[in-house]
Amino acid sequence: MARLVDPLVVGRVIGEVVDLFVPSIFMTVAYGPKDISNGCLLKPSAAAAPPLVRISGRRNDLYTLIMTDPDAPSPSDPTMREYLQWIVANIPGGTDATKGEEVVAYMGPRPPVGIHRYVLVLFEQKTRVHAEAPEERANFNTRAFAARHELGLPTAVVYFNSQKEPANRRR
Amino acid sequence: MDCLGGSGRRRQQEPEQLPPMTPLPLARQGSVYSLTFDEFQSTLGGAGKDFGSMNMDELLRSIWTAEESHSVANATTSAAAAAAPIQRQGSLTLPRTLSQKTVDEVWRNMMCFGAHSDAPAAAPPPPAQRQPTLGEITLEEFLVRAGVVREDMTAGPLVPPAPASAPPPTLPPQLPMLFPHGDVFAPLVPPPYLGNGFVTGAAGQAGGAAASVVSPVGPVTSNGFGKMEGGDLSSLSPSPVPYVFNGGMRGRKASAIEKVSERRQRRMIKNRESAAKSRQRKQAYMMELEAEVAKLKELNEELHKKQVEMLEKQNNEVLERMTRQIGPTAKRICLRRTLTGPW
Repeated sequence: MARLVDPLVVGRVIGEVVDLFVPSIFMTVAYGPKDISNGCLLKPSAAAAPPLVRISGRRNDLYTLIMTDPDAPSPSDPTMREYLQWIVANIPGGTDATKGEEVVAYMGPRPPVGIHRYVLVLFEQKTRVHAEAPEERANFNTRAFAARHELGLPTAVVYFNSQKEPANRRR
Repeated sequence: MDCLGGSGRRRQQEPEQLPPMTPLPLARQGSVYSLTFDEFQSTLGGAGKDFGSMNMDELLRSIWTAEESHSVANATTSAAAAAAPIQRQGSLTLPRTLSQKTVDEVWRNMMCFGAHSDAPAAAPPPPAQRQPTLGEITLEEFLVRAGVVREDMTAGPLVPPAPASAPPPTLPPQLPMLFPHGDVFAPLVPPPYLGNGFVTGAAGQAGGAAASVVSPVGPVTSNGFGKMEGGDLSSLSPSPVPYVFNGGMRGRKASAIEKVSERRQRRMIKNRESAAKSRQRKQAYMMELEAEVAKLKELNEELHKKQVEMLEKQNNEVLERMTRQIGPTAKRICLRRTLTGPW
């Protein structure tokens, strides 16, 4: 049953961030020891450092990884959709994100209100990309960026949820 | 005079009379207040000036003179006649703010406030009683809305000037009745509201008595009105909601309450949305987990199989090795007799 409808569709990632695509690359994103699975809840503190993103693919191919928050500043009022968290370009296939070029420095989740989705999208590049960092992180558009650099449809997408940690620890 | 003096008469007769909603014929009303501005002007024999530019003060004075002449003309019970002048004295006082204004200004203010109070309000604007022009409004309506203060009148609960469902004609018979009523009620009504002394209260009572309407301030008002209706002299329950200061701003109280309910509704809608989102998230995660479980199960099975295969292979390998080695080393493995010992 779960296979019939993608969690990405149910979580509205496909639709709001990317379009329907066919995954062709395996990507694992790990904050710490555990891999994240779609829709899992992560604490912002746990995601403060850039994750280890491993991808499959051929050595010759280059990939671009984009991480955004489509629910900024609040899921019920996403006026800053999408908020750019990270861009790494020119990642060689079969390696990880550290082997690429960080176009936009990693910013960990900082959800002020509500539960935000943080989406990591992997694109296959046709050629070497010389991407310029956008002026501001807010109101980023993944689709537009992909169109501008001819990235086409994504090859892999994963997302997780994060919400503000309560200030006081519950006793 | 019928209206004022007739209070006693009418109160007793009230239940048997026509139902409150039925307009009484003009003759019975006999009150100046029930006339519209136009009619009032004509009754004065054209002597009434153009009301628009008239001061509120002047307007009231002309009304009083009209009343007087009216009451003299009308045949009423002696008690009523006696009561009339006395009551008339104290009947109307103007707040200072109003007396200097002209009728036109007051009218405009009323219309403005009417618009304001209606705009945010969920309640439909009272249809019939929003007389569009000054000429068509009855005098009492106008006075009531303008917030002309009645000294002895202590407040009934607040109600928008024109309760939505009450047709205009019902107001006149009740209001003149109530003006004197206010006198009677005065001692019974709780003092705190004396200072406010709103005609709005009168209007509210009028509206309520006339229509028994569920206004936006429904539960509060109906209390007071029920008592009024029955000619009950028990004191009106003090409204827990604070009063506004003149008739023109009456609409704000109603709109304040409406704002609160609006806020509540908005909150509820937001809550529902976030609940729906939460459910969606949960569902997405569940599906993801199910997918992973399925994947892992598959993987597990595969690994199991592989493991079994491997084991088998291992066993086979040993055997194979054995069989392989039979050839050259067969002799070595088999027990061999090297020497036959002497038995």
